[in-house]
Amino acid sequence: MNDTTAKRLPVPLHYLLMADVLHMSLVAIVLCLVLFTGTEVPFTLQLVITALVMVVMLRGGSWLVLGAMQVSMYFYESRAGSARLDLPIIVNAVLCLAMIAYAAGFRSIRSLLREWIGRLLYLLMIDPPKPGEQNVLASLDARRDHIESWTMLREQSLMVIIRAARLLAIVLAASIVFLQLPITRPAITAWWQRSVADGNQLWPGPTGFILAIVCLLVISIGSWRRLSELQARLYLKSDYVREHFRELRSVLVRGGYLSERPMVMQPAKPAKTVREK
Amino acid sequence: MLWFREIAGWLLVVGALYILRTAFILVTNLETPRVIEAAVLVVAGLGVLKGGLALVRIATAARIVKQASN
Repeated sequence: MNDTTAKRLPVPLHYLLMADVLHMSLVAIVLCLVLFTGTEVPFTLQLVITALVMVVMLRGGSWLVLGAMQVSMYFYESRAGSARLDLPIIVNAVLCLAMIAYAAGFRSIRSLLREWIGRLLYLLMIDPPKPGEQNVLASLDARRDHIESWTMLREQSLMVIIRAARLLAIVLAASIVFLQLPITRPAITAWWQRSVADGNQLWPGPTGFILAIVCLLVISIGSWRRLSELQARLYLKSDYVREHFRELRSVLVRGGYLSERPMVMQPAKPAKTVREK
Repeated sequence: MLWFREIAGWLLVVGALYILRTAFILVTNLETPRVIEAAVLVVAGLGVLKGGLALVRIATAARIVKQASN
């Protein structure tokens, strides 16, 4: 998306707020469904817990989502039994994974969806400018802005679709990996027999773990290679200072630029009070 | 020089993975699992992995800056 176009065609604030409220309401409903499906927790308590999780997520912490999911799945699994894999259990597991993946990328997803829903609402609610309403130049300008807004909405829609596809791919991959785990009695027996047959090494064995670490490393280094020049410079400078901190400090102390006292935070001086007569 | 650093970093990463694999082999052996030896190897492997990754990251960042300067 072009930044200059985005600055020239901003969505009004109340549309962004409306979009945020819609988005957060939908997420809260899904979260409540995922956390409390089939439980007998009172509705008020469900609302309080969901609100607490949402507040922590809004303040940038996804740890509570993860913890709440684990507690919920622990009770759900113990109720539903782990010996069968029917549709409700699979749907619940997929929703849990999707919610965890969503919480991990919450900030970027939120800003993207806020802009997209806000622009959609804005364009749906305003009337398109008609030719000849005001003077010709103003009318043409308004029509051009309107067309550019729709173009931006199309670009944002594409980004939302790509993001949703990525989320779906992550959930599918995680589901496939988790389905390989021996969670039923026959699967546990087969896993044990396979491990014994494979030279007494527990399956998937060391090679499987190492391949998982390699995948993580490739993803990590791949994202590192997309640093901007400014970020790369900042990293190099901070690394240089960290590595050579003692040498730099001794040079500065010898040159008289720093005192030899240890660098300890001094407490702030109390403010001067008004002298009483 | 930057390529040398990056290659050295990747070699360290490969070495660290080999050490970690050895540790996993020790600990997942059903007959005689050797947890203490595996723990020592895991600590060593993670140290080597950290060093290797640091080299790769610095080399990558330096290359990005160099390319931007040119």
